[in-house]
Amino acid sequence: MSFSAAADGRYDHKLFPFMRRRGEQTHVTEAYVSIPPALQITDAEGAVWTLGFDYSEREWRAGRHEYDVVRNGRVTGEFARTIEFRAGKVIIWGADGRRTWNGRQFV
Amino acid sequence: MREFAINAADVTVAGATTLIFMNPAAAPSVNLELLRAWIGFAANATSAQQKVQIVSQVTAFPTLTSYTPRKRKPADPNASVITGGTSGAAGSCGINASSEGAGSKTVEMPDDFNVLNGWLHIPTPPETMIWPAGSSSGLGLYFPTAPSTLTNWSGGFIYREV
Repeated sequence: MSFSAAADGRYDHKLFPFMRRRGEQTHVTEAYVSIPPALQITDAEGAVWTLGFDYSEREWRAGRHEYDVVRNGRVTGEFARTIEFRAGKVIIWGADGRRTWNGRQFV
Repeated sequence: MREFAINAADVTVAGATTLIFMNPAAAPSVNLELLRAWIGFAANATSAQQKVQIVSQVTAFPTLTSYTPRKRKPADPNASVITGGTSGAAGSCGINASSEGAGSKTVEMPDDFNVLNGWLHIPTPPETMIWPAGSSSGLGLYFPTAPSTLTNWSGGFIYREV
């Protein structure tokens, strides 16, 4: 078991049960919740968002500490400092600026 | 940089409990720099506020479930200088205390969170706490009040040896 995502992009859900929804969805995170200081966001589709444990060494050394953006325990390929839930949208903030999840990718 | 993690997954806490505890090794050794702390909850969908503190504690330390630190970087050939233990003594770490020990706690960082959202502390590089080797105290992730639901708590520390 590892604290990094596996080659298929999945984190170990036994180690990190907070990374995925468990059972039937019963709530949607309220607006303006931000990660950090929250650990997770649950959107209207039932997807659970969090920051993973992998970071970009290049960004870290430049003083911009960003971590992988994780959806349902699987990496999205994006790195960010903050994930925010606003007006039903999942928004990430990082060195590439502000990007919004369109249901398939961040744009 | 050598990084390690102490992780409690889906544990049942006793009440006002130390969820994670680590204690640097006796000097001379490396220091422990706290890079991340987190708490998650999955027992139900009932909104509730919960207090959390990062505390230092001198002996007597909590009685813990032993936990061997995991490598954050799998290619790292070395194990951590601290090892799993139940006593919280210098050079050891553990999770989910069954007894808090008589040693006094000093609050290093207090916070509150909604259990549905969990709690994540990622200090910027200049804000990290560095716990020195040979310190008389260990560092804990502590619930100062008992959660309204005791089951299905997760939490952890990521630390770097510096």
